[in-house]
Amino acid sequence: MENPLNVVNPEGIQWSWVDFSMGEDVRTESRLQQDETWRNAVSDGRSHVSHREYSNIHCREFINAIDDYKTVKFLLSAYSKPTNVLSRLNIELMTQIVDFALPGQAPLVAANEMIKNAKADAVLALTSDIALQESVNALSNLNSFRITARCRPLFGYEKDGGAYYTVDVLLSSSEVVTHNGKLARGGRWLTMSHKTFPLNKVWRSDATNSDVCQYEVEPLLSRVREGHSSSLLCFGQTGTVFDTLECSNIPSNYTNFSSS
Amino acid sequence: MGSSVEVTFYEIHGKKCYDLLSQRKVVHLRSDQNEVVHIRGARSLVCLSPSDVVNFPPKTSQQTSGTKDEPAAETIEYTDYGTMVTAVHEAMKIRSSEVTERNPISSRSHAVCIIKLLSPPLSVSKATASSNHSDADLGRNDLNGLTYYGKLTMVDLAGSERNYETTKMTAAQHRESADINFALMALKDCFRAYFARSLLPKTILKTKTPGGTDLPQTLSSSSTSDSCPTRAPYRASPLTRVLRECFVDSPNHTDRRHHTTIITTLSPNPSDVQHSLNSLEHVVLMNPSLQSQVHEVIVEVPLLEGFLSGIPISAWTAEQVLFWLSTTNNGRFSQLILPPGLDGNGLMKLNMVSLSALCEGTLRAARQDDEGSAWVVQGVASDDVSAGARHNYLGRALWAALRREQQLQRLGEQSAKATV
Repeated sequence: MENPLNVVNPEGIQWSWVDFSMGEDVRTESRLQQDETWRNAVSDGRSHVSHREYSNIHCREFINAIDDYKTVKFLLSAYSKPTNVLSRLNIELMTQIVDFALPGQAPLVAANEMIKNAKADAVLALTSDIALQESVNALSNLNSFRITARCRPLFGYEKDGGAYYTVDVLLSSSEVVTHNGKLARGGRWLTMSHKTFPLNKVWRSDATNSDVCQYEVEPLLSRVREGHSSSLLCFGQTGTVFDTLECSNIPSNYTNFSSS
Repeated sequence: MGSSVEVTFYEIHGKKCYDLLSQRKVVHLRSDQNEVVHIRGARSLVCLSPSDVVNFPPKTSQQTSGTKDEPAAETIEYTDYGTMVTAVHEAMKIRSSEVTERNPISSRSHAVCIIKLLSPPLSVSKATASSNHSDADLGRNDLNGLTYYGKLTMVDLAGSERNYETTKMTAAQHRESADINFALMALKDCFRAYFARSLLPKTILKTKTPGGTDLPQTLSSSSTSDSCPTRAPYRASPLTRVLRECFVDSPNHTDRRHHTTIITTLSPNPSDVQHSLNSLEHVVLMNPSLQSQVHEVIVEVPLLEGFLSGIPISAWTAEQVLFWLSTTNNGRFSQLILPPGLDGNGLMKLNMVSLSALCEGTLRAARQDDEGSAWVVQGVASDDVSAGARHNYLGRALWAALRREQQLQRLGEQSAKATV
C-alpha cells in the first residue's frame, strides 16, 4: 500500500500504521467546498461561526486554556500529595494563588476538590457494603471486558492548517482528557470544558500498531487458541481509520502465526 | 504447530447483511434453537494446516443447494494461506471503495470478521472437556472431521455522526445514521445489563439459572431486577445478535468467560473534538464503573483579542462606541442608533432604565428622527420573548453587554499584571 499522506511523527519516524489509502485526505476537497459555501451564505444580522472556524480563529486562546489547565493540574497534583509543601495550604489560599498566577482558572481548584470529595464518598459508600465492594474489585481486576482508547497523531496537513492537540492521554492514570471549547453567544467568552474519562488502558499517539496488537489483541488470540471465544470491537469516528486498517491486518498476522 | 482456520467476513448495513467475501451478496442472520446466530448464505474460507491436509483431505461437495429466497446454507471453500489473505484484503477493498463512492465522509456499516480455529478431534478433546459451552456457541460442531474449538470475532463499528453531514443529508442517510445510533445504543444496553448482572449478589444469580428456581428467592430476585436488568436485550439489533456471546456469559465464571476488548480511536484535531467526545461518551457508557468516574471541569475564558481591548470604556470616543455596538454580541446591536456624539463616558453614566428608554419606550426624543421603527421591529423579530419581557429587553441586554465588557477589561488588566 502506498502512503499518500506521508505522515511523519516528531522524531522523524515513519508511522507504520497510517499507511492507508482512504481517510481524511479524500475529504479535504469536500471540506473546503463546504467552507466556501458557508462563507458565502447570506445570513441574518448575526454572524454564525462553526466550531471548526472558531477553534481556528481563537486557536491561541484554546492553546493557552489547555496549557493553563495542565499547569493547574500540575499544581493540584502537588497540592494533593501529603509530602509536598503545597499540601499545607488550605483550599482558599490555594484558590487565591491559582487565581493570581493564572487569572480565571480558580474554578479548577474548587472542581478538583469536589471530585476528590466525591471519590472519597464513593470509597466510603463501598466499604460499607462488603459484598458490593468485592464484586466491584472483581470487576476492576477483570480483564474479560476492556475499554481502551487510542489517540491518532495529527497528520502533516492538519499541522499545516494550525491544528493542535485537544485530546490528552495520561498514561499513569490511564485517563483521556478532552478539551472542548464553546464560543459564547456574545462572541467574547470561551467556555472551556475539560472532561476526563478513565479507561482500562490508553494509548498515546506514538504507540505503534504492533504495540497495540501485542498488548490488546494477543491476549484475545491466546484465549482463542485455548478454545474459548473472544471479540474485538473497533470503534472510531471517521478520520481515525485505524479501526478499518487493524481489522485487515490481524487476520494476516494471525494466520501467519497459525501456518508457521 | 499450526492450526487450521476458517474465515467469514460480512458487513451489517442497517438491518441487512452483505457477504464481503462474495461481492456483497445479501446474507441472512438466523438463530438456532440455542439462540446461536449463524450467517446463512455466507461464503467461508478454510485454510488447512499442513498436518490437517494430510489427515483430513478436503471434500468438494460442501455446497448445499438453496432456493431463491433462502440461499444455500453456506459455501465452504478450501484455500491456501496466501489466497485467504488476498481474499480478506480484497474484501476490505470492497468495503472501502463502497465507503468512498457512496459517502465520502464516513463508513456507514459495521464490518464483522469471524475467525474460527479448527483442530483434529483428538487434540481438542481436552479443550472441549473444559469448555463445552463454547462448543455450542461455535455453531456447527465439526467440518469434515475437524472440530471447531476457538473463535475470534472482530467488528469494525460504524463511525459516529459528523457535523458536516447534518446540514446536507438525504432521507436515506438520515435513516442510516438512525440505524447506526440504534445499534450503538443497543450495544451499550447489552453491556450495561452484563455489568448489572455481575454486580448482583451471587445468591440471586443462582436462582436465575434455569431449573433451580424456588419461590422466595425468585421473589427477592425479581425485586432486584427492577433496578438492574439481568438479561441482555441482544435481540434489539443485528449487531448485538452477532455479538451475543459477549453478553450472555456471566462474568462471575472466571475460567470460561468470553473476553471482549474495545479499542476506541480518537482524533486530536480541534475540529474533531466533539466526535472524540461523542465516541468516548458512548464507550464509557458500556461500563458503569468507569462511567461513574467521568468528570468535567468548566472554565470560562475571556477573549481579549480585538480593537478596544486596551482602552477602558469610559475613555471610548463616539466612533469607538459605535464600533463596539456593531461588533459586540455577534452584531446584535448593530442596527441601534444612539444619540450622536455619545462617547464611552456618557454611555457608562446611563443606568439600565435610561438605556432602555433610549432604545425603546416613550422617550423617543432622545433618538434620531427616522430610526425608531426599524430598530423596534428588529428587536422584536430577533428576540422572541413574551410581551411582558419584551419591554425594556434591549436596553437591559445592552446594559448587560456593557457590564460584561467592563468585567472582561478588568480580567484583562489582571492577566496583564500577572504576565508582567
